[in-house]
Amino acid sequence: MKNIVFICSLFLLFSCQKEEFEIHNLNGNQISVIGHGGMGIGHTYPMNSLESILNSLNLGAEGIEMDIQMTKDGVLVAYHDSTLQESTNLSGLIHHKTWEELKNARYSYPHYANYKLVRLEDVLKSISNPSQYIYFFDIKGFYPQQDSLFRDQLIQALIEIIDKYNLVEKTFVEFKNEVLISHLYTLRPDIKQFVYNEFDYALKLAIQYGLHGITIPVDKLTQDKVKLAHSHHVMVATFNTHSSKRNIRAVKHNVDYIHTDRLKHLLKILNK
Amino acid sequence: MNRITFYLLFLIFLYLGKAEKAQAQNIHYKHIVNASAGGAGGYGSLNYEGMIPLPHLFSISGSVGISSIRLYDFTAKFNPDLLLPITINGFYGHTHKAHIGFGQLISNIVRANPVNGASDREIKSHTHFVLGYRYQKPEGKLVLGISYTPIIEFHKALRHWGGLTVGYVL
Repeated sequence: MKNIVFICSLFLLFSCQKEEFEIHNLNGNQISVIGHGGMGIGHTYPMNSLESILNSLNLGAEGIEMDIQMTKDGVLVAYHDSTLQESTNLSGLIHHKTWEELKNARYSYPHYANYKLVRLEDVLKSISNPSQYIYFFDIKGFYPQQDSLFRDQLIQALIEIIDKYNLVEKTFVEFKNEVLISHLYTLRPDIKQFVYNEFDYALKLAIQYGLHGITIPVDKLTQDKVKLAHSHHVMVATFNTHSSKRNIRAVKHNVDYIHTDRLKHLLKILNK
Repeated sequence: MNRITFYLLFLIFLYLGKAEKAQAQNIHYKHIVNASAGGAGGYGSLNYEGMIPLPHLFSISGSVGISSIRLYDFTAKFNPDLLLPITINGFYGHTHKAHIGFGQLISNIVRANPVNGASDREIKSHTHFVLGYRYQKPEGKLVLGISYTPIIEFHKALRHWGGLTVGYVL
């Protein structure tokens, strides 16, 4: 009987021990914990709502990833989906509406909550000492026509807000589109960019423009791919970590930034 | 807020009037506690219900509940959202009852102020309806129910919803 108790105790002791990770990356051998749209997919706070973003920072995230779209009158809004009806009480595209038309839009879930759509400016205004955090601005490409006028307006709005809050050092702008990458790079090479696309194409663009990094979903990454990017001095950010297993997989890949949907778990396993 | 006051007063008068009548006629008044998954309370609620049998297999009840969306707010402090569903119900049937009802839900939700990021509470009211089935033996203790509970959030937006209820007659 004593032996059984001893074996069970040993089993419990070892099963409770936390896994230690040895990180080797371009981020000072540390992984930065970034809240995916704040608290991530599937949380009771809708992604990109002010409550979700502030919650993630209050729980210890080192930064936030926000999905950014521009209204018809050039206002940057934090919103993930292609159409408003997917997640709010309004319908149509962000780019077809003015901020005045959007300012009362509220997220459809959870019931009764009345969480509102917010401007990027409102988010930064609400964060005390915003320059202490890292920002990934994922610029969504849901606009039907991306002409030069639109591109100028978008890039100008981004530059203005980054400069206004003195966030050049702390901000990474994520584009899928090479034209926008080139446009921002030409105007402001000091603003850091990540390319969000297929691994090979993203790496090619990052090398070509000397960009800071690439953003790849965790299920499309391998350790070898991360090593390859790092060997070209290209950092790697990953997302789609909506389970503990995926958090651990991302950590084992030695990426530099994780946009996590399981914030508390990632903070815990990285001892942050 | 006037609408909420009206419903609260209506429920209280209904309760007092029917309770008095029930006592005078020696009618067995039922106190029920139930837990709902889904339903008017959103994700779920705990409810108290006072039920009065009427002639010809009819009965009516008034119920009040409590629910929440989150217990900790976005600043990570204990500061629960509160949802209070208030419903007036009508039933027809012996053991297998048809159930209709309507009511108001008062929500008191913690939100972030977009000007300074501070936490604010916002009180709103919403309308809901109930159309369902209830299993409840006249002298039994167990109550089971399934219902379609459309919600008109902020008295503007219709949301199709439903719920399951398990209750106990005290």
